[in-house]
Amino acid sequence: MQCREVQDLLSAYLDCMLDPSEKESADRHLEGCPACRSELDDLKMVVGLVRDLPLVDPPPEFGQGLRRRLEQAARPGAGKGILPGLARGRWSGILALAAGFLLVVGLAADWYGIPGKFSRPDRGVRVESSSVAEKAAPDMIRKVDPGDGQARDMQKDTAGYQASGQPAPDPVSGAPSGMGGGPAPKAVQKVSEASENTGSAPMISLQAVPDPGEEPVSVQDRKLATNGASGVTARGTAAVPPPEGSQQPMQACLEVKVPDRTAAIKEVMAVTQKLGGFAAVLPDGKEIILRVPVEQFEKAVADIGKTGRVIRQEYPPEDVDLLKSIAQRTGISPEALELEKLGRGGGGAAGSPQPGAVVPPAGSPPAPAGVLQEKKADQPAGSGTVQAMSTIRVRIE
Amino acid sequence: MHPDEDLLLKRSRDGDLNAFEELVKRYESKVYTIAYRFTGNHADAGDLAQDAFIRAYQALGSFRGDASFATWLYRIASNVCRDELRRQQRHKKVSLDEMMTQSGGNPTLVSPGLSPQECLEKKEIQELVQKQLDSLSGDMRLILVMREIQGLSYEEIAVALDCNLGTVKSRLNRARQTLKQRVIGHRELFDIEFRLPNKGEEG
Repeated sequence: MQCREVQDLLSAYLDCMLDPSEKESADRHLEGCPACRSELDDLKMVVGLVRDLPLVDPPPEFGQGLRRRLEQAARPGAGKGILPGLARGRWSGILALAAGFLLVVGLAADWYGIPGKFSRPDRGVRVESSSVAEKAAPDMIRKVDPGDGQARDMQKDTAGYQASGQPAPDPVSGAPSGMGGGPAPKAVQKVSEASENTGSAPMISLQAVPDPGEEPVSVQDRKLATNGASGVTARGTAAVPPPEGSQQPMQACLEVKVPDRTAAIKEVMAVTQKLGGFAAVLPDGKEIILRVPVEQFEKAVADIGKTGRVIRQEYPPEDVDLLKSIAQRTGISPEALELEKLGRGGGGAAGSPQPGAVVPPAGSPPAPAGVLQEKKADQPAGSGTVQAMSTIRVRIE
Repeated sequence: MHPDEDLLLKRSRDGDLNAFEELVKRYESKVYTIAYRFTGNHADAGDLAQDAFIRAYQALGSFRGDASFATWLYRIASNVCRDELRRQQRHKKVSLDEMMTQSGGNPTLVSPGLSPQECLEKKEIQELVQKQLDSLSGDMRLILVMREIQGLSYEEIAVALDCNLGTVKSRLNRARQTLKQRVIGHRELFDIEFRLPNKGEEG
């Protein structure tokens, strides 16, 4: 080995990250080369200096400032009245279930030519895997933001893979673990796996919102998130929840015109998550059903409206069951659309991985309704208060 | 690991801010240090450190205890730094690192006004290191903070930065070499009898 080569390896050498043959070559060289030994010593010293840098205490105003921000921040994801047990393990099983469910229904609708949004000549173009991946495991997936070109590339790749009948590459590094279990299973893996069996079928996007990953988006909202192309504008800090209004579930249908649908969908998901709600994108990729706590209803409507130009805004009266009409139109059961219930049906203590949640593979005769009901029966006692949820249907043009 | 931490976590999850503040107190120095070593100044460090705690607070529901709370929290802290770096790069503002290199770091340590006869004390060495750290690009600073301050493994860094192991190796190597050159380069301004610690010692 030459000096130059060795010096490029010194850092890895220090950390014992060289493979055995490299290490041996480096050792041999160092034995006979004082110059490189000196370089190594210098490097070791500087690394040591950085590591020995002392802790820095925050100034006194740090704690006060933090307290102020905490008071305004949205509550932790697993609090009273908000769906308990948002642990990844539980969610991944549920997501897999719901994703498989929606996928099966979507396929069935397609195959049997059920009229409506599902029937499209162009299958295999599915947009949401990238954002699901992003949401589900944010610090594993490269972060993509609205309007970021990377997001589109990921989408394209996934669509391309699907069209060719190959399973979409799992954006989470590492082999997909078995469904419904395994250490820290990622929701995105489940969705990917659900699609693996379907080849060219349209992929369903189901977002776990709030995010089963570590880091909610709301803090990032503080930073300027402008992107001229998408028209998404910055928002302020998470607002103090509006005063307690009517506890009756409310409903809204919104139609929003946006320059960038993908970005707008992400935006809507972020809004929903921030408000402690749940959302799912329908297979046509243009509609989102979301459920937010009733006290966040108005804020949700307002925030969603900011994602683009609102061309239609309706509030169906209470005697019109919005979930039911969506269910009829899409063929998904209303229970599946009451998204928050999926989480509670998970069973088991908070934090335990979802034990073998059965996801019907796409090829088999679907029995999702039956499975879903089993899950609901599994509700552990005292799993949390029932949160009154309102429903919003958003159509993004 | 404090035995009452589970209780504090549970209360925090239920929205008990006092309980969460107890946790904050235990870890704020390390979190702040990560932010400070990355940003090089107290104002930005305060912002990022607060961001980290807010993120952690809101994500408490998804903390499953498979890693220690401290580890989880520090990861959030370095992710906040990473995200801030990306944000700045994306919006093409004058980045922190550009500002740093333009100002040349701390002038008092770098300028020839400092007497070469002066003997540096440990604190000044540390300031020297921090200033040279500040003079690096954001990417280099980030990976050094992750490896040396936070103690992440190569694999963990690869995950956080969404790159492969080979990239981590070469980036870390470049960052360390650059820092080494700058620290040692500036050391020559000072007392020749002055020896930086650890030189020649086996680590």
